[in-house]
Amino acid sequence: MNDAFNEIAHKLKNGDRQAGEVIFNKFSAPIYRYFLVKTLSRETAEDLMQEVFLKVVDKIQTFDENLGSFSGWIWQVAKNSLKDYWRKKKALPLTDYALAAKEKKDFFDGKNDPAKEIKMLEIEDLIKDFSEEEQEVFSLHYLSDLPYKNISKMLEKSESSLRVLIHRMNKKIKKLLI
Amino acid sequence: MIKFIKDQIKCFQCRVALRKQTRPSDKFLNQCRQLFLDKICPAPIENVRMAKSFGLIYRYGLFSFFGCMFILSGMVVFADMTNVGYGHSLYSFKRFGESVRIKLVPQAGQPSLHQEFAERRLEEMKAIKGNTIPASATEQVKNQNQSILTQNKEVEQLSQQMHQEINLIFSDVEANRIEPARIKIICNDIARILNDDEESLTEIPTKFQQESRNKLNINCAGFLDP
Repeated sequence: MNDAFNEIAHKLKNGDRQAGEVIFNKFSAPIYRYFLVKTLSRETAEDLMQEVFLKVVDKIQTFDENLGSFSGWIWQVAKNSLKDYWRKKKALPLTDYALAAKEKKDFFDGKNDPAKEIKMLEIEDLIKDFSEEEQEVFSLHYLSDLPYKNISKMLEKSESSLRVLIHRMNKKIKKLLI
Repeated sequence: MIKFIKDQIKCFQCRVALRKQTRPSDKFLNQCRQLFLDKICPAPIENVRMAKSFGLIYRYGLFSFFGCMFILSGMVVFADMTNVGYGHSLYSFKRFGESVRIKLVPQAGQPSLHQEFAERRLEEMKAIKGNTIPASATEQVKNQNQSILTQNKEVEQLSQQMHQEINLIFSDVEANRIEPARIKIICNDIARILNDDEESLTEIPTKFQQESRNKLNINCAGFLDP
């Protein structure tokens, strides 16, 4: 996810399907994981991811290559979608909270493996303990395995501060896993 | 050191498991991808439809073309084999078949084909001459005159074509393209056709008849039966 995506985004502006496919293949999984970590619900992550890509098509004309990278832009669209989601979520009537709780539970289903389920629940607790920034880094670095350079661009952070953050997170995760 | 390596391996395994666990399902990805791409540009789907319909048209077109060709060639063969008469709806097919046969036959076989066609023209002329015109009603006299004029024109046209066929045979004879053994048969056949033409169809010899007769005398003088 480097500036090469600006060129692809330019093609996307002109309605190039192939460019769209490249962008989807590159960003779909990280964005999905990001939402998954943030919402702890597969269904919500799917809905949000779909929403992001539809928004990308709607708003691609507003993207200016001179102002920033496409990776940063699409990531901002994802963040805004998540903000909208939380805003709507807060407005949920009381009766829907049970459903919301169930949604959270289905995130780390152990698929009939109790040991795995326990581990996953521990990770879920760990994610809850993470700050918002740490959650983002966790989804991008641990789950999507993106390089520091790209994550720093997406999150608009310097690489060195990102390394420090990841080092701290590593310690937390190791404590839990080992 | 070993503990460190073990920790690293555990970490790695955990990350792999996590990644597997947090992967979006393929079904959802395909669905979402299609939705996204269709929103970008639905044109390719139209193109696919167009290509499909074009393929269909192409197939039907090809099928119709070969069907038409089959029917037309059938008509040509039928018209040629039944030797349909002048004025028949398939007559032009018969003539087309004749021109194709002339083109396809080797040079040695051309004189006999020309002879066959000359005989056909003669038969057609006879058939036209033999057609009696109904003359019962006086008001039809004008139409009858018109019919006679048309008939004469047709006969003249056919006669011209017949003599053209005969001339082609003579040109083959002049160019020594016919075997000596066959010349005698061909010459006698031509003489028979010319006699038939002169006796039954015209009272005054036409220009074509005279030309053909002269050529017959020149080329076939020694081969004709007494």
